[in-house]
Amino acid sequence: MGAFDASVRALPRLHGEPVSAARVRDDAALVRAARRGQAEAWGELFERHWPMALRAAYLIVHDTATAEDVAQEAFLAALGALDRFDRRRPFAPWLHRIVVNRAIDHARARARRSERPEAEGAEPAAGPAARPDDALLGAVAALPPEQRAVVVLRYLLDWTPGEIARGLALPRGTVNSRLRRALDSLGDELGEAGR
Amino acid sequence: MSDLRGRLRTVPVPDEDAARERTARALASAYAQRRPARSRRRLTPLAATLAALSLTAAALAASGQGGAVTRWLGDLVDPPPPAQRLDRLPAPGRLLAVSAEGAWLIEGDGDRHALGDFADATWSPQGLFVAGVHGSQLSTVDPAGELRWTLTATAPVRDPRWGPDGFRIAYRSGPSLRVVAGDGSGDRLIAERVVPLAAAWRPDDSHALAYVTAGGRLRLAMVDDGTATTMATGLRDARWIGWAAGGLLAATPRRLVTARRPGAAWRAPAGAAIATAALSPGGDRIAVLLRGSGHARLLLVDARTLRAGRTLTTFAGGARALTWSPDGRWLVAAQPRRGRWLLVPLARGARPRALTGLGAALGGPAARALPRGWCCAP
Repeated sequence: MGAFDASVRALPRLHGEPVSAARVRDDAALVRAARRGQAEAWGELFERHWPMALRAAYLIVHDTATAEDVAQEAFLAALGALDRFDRRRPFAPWLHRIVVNRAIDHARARARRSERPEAEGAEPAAGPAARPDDALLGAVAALPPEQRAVVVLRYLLDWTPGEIARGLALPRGTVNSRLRRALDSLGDELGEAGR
Repeated sequence: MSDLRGRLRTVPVPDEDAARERTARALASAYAQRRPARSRRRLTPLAATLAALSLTAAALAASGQGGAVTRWLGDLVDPPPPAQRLDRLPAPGRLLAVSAEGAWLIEGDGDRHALGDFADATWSPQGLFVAGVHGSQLSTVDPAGELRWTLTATAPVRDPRWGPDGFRIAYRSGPSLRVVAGDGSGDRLIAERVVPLAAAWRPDDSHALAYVTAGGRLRLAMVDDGTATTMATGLRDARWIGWAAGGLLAATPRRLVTARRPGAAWRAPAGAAIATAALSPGGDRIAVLLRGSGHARLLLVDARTLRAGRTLTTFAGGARALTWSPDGRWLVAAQPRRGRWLLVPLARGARPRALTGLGAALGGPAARALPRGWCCAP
């Protein structure tokens, strides 16, 4: 493996694809430009990273409005921290970590509320019942929030277990066991072939 | 595993396009409020606003979202309001205020006098008395400040609210909600655990009191016979409740709902949260204070239809203690961090004013001066 290949492998990956060095530089350049006041650069960062941020939040909180809030709060937090952002760090993992941590908080809060008898007024996640992906969504939603988060980080955002452990400040073994338990729970939905 | 990857990436996210558009607008607005780090020392506020405007508009035009410009331009802050001293009120009536040095009554000509050492206070319905709280004590005084009676509770007293016929006063004591007669007698428990929010009397003589339990239930208690009915649920994060022309209303950070029509709601725009609300004297409009990223917007919502009306003003920072003038032509809100009050006219084209010098007028730091009710035009 050449030095260039090694450097690309070491880079964080987005959307399931290895991210090119040019793409990472692009994000870094956009962050620099946004810090200088170039609204176009901020808009481009949003366009690039919003879809995955919203999807990650939705898969964890399982509620459209809350997912929008979570993803939006993450972008606002990123904007607020733009001047302090370490330009050597890649933007996407930083943003995704904010999204996932906030989504976990929301999901935990919702779970706590649902345990109380007076919480029946909470708005349920509504939606048609017959969509083909409802079974997968339902299976993911049935996982505890912590397991949902590692599934999303691993299989949607393509973080390695080591990156998940560092990002969520968890022992590596905890990440692996959560992944294992989550995949076991999802097994019926995914089928043995998928595992 | 590739199957799981593929399905997670393609599972539909409901309302995805609308969410993207809402957030794009909110972020454009938030970005416009942000001044570039290198320019902070050189740009005046006006120049920074203009620069942010042009940059953001250029960005939206370049991204093909020019149509959205007109929608979010309204989110940008208005120019700083001209300042004036608290030397007169622009509408009839008397303004009740609290500061670090107690409660004050401000006359229309700006004359003012202290009512007592109260941390919070509220008018009686006709403006004949004031109920004030200090620690665990609830007291009533007349407008000259003469004490009528004092009740000592077992826990700190908050949010006194005088009923519409003058015969009952609701107040929170610790986590509980209690009611006492207007003459200080018959103190009784209404609910053991409520959210830290002022209760709301139904605007008739039925002694019906709405409140939100700690579990998020909006309850209506008939205080004289002790019965109570649940009107709505899921309101643990309620910020305000009130009775309007359309019935009982409640505001949470995300929505304004009516107990009369379950499911009907006015929702706060993306990136904004409802901080507080206040009902107009006629009960037909609700002034809603929205907090965004570094700025706030004051707008009107129709109390019957829950449709948003016009934005009255948008300003940097936040505000609290929203109060209508008795004639419904002005709103006043405190901006504690700026040490001033905003006086907002409802007349179209009229500009808000900033009331300054509050520390000198009411004593103590200006940040602790809050309007608490504008009562009773002659």
